[in-house]
Amino acid sequence: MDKMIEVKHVSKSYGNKLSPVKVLDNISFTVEKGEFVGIMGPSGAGKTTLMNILSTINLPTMGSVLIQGNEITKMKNNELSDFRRKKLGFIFQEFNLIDTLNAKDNILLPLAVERISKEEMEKSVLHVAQLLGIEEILKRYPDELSVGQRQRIAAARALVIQPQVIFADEPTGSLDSKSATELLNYLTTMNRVEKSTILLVTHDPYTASYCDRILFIKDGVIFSEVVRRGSRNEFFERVIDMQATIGGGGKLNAL
Amino acid sequence: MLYKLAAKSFLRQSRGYLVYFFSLTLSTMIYYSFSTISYDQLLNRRTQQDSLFNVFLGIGSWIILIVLLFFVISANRFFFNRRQREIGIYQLFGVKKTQISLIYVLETMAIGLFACTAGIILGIIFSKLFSMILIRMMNLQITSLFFISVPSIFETFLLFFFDFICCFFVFIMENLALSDDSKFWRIRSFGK
Repeated sequence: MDKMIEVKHVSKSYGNKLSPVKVLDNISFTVEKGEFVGIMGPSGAGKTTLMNILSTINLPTMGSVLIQGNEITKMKNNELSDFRRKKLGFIFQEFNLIDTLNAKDNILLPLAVERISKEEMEKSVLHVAQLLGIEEILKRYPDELSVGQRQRIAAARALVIQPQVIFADEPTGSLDSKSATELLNYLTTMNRVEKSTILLVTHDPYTASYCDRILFIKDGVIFSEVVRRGSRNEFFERVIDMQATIGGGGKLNAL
Repeated sequence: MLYKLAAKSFLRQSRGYLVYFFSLTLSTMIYYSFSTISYDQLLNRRTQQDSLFNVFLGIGSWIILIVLLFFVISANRFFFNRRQREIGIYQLFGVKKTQISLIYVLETMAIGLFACTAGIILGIIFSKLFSMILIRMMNLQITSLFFISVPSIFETFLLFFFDFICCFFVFIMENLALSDDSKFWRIRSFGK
């Protein structure tokens, strides 16, 4: 299988030279094309920092990141803009929709910069809207939508360009369990049908159980890795056990 | 398409700019009226002996110019800060800084020009009233005439271009002084 993301010896520290705070310490791993990878770990472990670096938003202090063989850590600002727009999709915990645009225009935003015909845009929007079941609410503004609907709009915006990689940070964090399950099913569909690679950060073992593989991060290093082999329930149990080992949750806390 | 989206978004939040728009219109109107009075030949001939009169009119214009400059700069900074989130999202989805700057400049100029034109029209309507008040207060025995002063219109537009160019200049200087990931250009990121 092709390598989608290659992370090579990435370190990141914040603060000044006198008192640096090391958030990521020499992390290396690879993600294959079409994988659904979860990243878990206690808060402050560096999950979000890692996501920001992988998604070209922040630069690492040391090391390099390659996406499809492109070294994103060496790109210039304008190249990065193009790269983000063409290859990456983003889903946030707090959606980050533009409140002054209606749902359809929000979804159109990543396409708007591209020089493509209006019919093609309409077609792409309709395609993702059907996939996520939001055709009826396309005309509404974000403040007229429920939280679950907003997250689906945000997901549609991430998916409309048919990204190579989707980055999702706690996408189910502000959803109730029903909407969360729905969103996760959509993500799984995206992963299976459109062959998008998905990277997902989460605290929640239930959300994590939808992944193929989970990386556990603790104190800026990869602590361990759990790969799904059997059913989702069995995977869920193993995720909880690993959380207990790492000290951020576990069966006793979950009960 | 991007500019169409930006325009839609701007129109949707145009209500937030209403107070700013009216203040700009009002100050343009006042500036125009001052300017017209200083071009009023009848009044000028009558007050030629009184050199203080023209000095005061001049000072008035300058005060408006300077106050307006500060007003434009701080109001625009306020609007810019309020829209940081939106700008961060645009950047995240691959809109380049030059494109965002262009959208922003166009919006600012559009409001400015619109307010300036409205102010001049109001000024033309009310300038007679202002000169009447002035003549009454000075106890002069002349009647003020209604006239449209073309040099005043030019002067008012010039004032506006000067203020907005100063405003953009200040913004550019601030941007150069700050680093790339300053709050002006903070891209929307995970965990923030």
